[in-house]
Amino acid sequence: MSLRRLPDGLINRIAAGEVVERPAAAVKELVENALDAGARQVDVSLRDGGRAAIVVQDDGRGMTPEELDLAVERHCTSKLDGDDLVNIASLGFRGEALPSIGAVARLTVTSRASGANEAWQIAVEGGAKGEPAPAALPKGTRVEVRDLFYATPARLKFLKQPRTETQHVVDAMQRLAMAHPHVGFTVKEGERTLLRLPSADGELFEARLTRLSGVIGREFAQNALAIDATREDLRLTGHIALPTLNRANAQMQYLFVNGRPVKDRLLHGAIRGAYQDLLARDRHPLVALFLACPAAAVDVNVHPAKAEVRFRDPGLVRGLIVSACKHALAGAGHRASTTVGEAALGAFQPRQGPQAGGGGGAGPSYAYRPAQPYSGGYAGAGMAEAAAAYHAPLPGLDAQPSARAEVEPDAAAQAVAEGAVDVTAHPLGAARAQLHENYVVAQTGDGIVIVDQHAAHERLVYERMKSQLAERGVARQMLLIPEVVEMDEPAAERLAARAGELADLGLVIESFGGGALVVREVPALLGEPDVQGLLRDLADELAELDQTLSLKERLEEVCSTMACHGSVRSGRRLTVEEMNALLRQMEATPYAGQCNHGRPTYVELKLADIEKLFGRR
Amino acid sequence: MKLTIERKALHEGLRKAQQVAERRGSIPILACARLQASTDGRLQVAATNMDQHLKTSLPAEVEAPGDVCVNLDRLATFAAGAPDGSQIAVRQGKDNLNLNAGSARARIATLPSDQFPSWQDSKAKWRAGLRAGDLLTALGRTRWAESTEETRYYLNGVYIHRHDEATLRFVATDGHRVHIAHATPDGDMEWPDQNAAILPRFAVGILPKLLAEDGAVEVTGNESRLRFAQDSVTFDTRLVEGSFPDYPRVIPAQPNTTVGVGRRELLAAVERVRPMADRKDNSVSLRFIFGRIQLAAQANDDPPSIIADAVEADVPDQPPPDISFNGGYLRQALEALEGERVTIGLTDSASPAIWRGNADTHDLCVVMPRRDAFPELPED
Repeated sequence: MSLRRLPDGLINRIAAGEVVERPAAAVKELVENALDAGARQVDVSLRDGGRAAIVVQDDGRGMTPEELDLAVERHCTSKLDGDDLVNIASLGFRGEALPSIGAVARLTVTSRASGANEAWQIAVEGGAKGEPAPAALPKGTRVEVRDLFYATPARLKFLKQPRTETQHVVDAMQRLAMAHPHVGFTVKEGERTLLRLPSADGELFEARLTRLSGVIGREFAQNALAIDATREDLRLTGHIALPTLNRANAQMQYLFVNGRPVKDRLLHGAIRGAYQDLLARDRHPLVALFLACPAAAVDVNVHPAKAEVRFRDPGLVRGLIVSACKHALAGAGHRASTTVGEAALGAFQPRQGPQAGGGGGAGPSYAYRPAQPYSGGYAGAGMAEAAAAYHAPLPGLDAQPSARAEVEPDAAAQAVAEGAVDVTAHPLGAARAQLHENYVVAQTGDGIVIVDQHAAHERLVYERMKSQLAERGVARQMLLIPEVVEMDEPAAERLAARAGELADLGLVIESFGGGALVVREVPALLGEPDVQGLLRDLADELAELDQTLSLKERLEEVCSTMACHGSVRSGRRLTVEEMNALLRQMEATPYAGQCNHGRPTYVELKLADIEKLFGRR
Repeated sequence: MKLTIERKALHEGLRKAQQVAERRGSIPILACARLQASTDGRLQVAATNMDQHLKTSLPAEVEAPGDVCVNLDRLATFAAGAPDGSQIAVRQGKDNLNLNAGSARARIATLPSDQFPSWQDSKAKWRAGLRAGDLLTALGRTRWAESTEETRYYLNGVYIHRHDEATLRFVATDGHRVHIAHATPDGDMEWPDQNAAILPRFAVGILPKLLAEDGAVEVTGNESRLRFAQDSVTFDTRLVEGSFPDYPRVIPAQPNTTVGVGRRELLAAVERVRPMADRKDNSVSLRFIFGRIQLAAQANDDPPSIIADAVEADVPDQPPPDISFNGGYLRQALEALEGERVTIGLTDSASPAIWRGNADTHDLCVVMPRRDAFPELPED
């Protein structure tokens, strides 16, 4: 076969293969167009999972008939003013979406330019463009896509069930919706409304939190920490969840770069780093982060669907994410997730008659009858302020817990006996009792707190060890017989490049050339570690996440075992002074709200909720 | 099989076999002892875990020879419980073994002896006759330094090679330190001076329970197996495959300075300060000043808690710099060495230290220091 130039129609179909891989991609492109056109309300309706029809209607600025004619031509866009791809401020820029969709479907675009008296319509069928014709439309643009992929039967065959395709559309819409809280979105499939997110008003953070709770779930808003950090010309905002609210997979981790939802493993690595000893390895936090950076600092032109981006300085972005999240988590002091308290309250609900399933116990009972609407907001504003005050380091408090109390221990005991301890003075209140030799019950200003004494003290001891480790550095045992580890060359180079960082953690390595590394010193805490396994894990992590977590994790594992052995056991009776000392130390220690695996160390029940249980409210 | 055997002899033989048998494994036959009675008045008890194999031959009055396998723990329970000084009558049934001793009687299920893994004798190329006490002492002194990290399997044992014409050398290392001990065979020996035997940790651990301290032991073997034979006991073990590191390279030929100190005194001082350091963090620092060694250890409190002590020592005019060690390694080195005094050969605080006893052995320990600063001492 001789060389030939492909016809335009075929070129467009090939391009469509990359840009419009499934209905959700078409929806995403069209909705992004709507957002770029300044829409305040975007309505999407689907039929048959988008296969039969996709209609996207917005109230944006619309197009003139001349623009309409150009819009469906390949590489025609209004979004790129210069001649380079440096400053890309809009979601789209390639001018590929409409012609690509037009090439594989029956496309009708109806639009009324703002201020114009009439609307115009243009149709494209399988790449064949019609003429603009007058039409009726009150405002904005309406794009109708029918029989998607009819011109590429091969792709049509590979579509999944309509339900799956619909779910992909909803996912894509949710991501876009999170980034644009001031825009209202609806998604309908036939007569069913799958997503209805009214435009959120007010200040950005507030609007965004409303939107996030609409998308991720109500419990996210109640357990979210706001992030707002700036480094050089990057600004990171958004919300992250408390560690006690976690999931088994990382799907609920969203990163937006300049309003564009992206999937980036950089984010996952950075988040894992930030939540490192607050969650078990197989649990993942919920986060939605929005990165604003100069358009020139990021390359969005690396992926046909723009799902990936490249940063000019990934290290800077990662550092910003890790430090901002860590800072927020430390600032949260000891807030445990309200879901824990709510679940507990749910379990408390009085039973009315025999339960379906009889011996199902508390679990099913509150699964079917969710807790009453939560009224107290998250952990209480007053608590957060007090937490901030308490989380500031108080020197000497660790060593001498009782120093915190304003009165002598004896006097304190007496005061407790008389009920005179000011319960409002401390966020975790005054200890009232110890139940089942493990649970300290304390009264706070507006509720009660139940503390798991072993988990809480373990975390305190662990945090103390960790800070010592950070302060004094990791002690190193030099090796009499240095260990040579053979690995593939890029892995060895990756490790050698981070030798300084590893040395700070007690592992001294040198490159031996040709993929071999020689280990000269190991962290004394680890005793006689499996150096080969450790280096392999580290190399894999560097490749995947660009972080060296394993070593830190192993050190912290040793610390946490030691902490477990060195802390108050469950089953030990505590005196009132001991209980109060424990509460005061928890208030003063960052990250005291959860154990190393993301389980809470205490739960808080608001008085308002307790009163509801008894019908007083 | 029909025989009578003295309770004590059977009990002791079975106790040795129990060291070797795989009693909690998934293969039932490995939890068994193979009993072979022969008409020449011996009952042979054999046990194996596929890597080690023990045979012990006990005197018995054999009426009818036989060959059968029986669960070792069941048989040992009976032998342990039978009256002291009694004779145990053993009679083999169709698929069981009947036992009688005084008022006690038992019937124990048997397995056919052909299921018992066979252990092929292999050609002995190496040979050394040792006093059992010397062998056990040398193993005992080195085994402290064996590695427990299984990825470096070739360090999980004691390396035994010919040091010079008359001595065998025992070496163990975990990469942090090396312990070296010696034993002198009686008479001639044939043993390689390199690529020699790495005796696995399991075998090192059970040999003291198999061999009597007094008496001779004949060690024979080749690249893959060793046999230890003493009187009626024959113990075979596979060797660790792999090559032991070239350990002489890491022993400094000429340390800059040497310090002499009483072994027990230093050991006692180490034990006085060591508990102060956190359990996993175990660092003991040494400072050499005229006439004494100062020891210090600290706990990571805020501010750090410190304990210090000192022992008299011969310190040269140009004292070596401060140095820190894992306290556990110090204790084990001092316990492994012999003699009233030890000398410490030192170069600097980042080079290995050589510890030797003043007894006329050539035993030594080489210990790599840790990177810890000498703690700030409490004021006098």
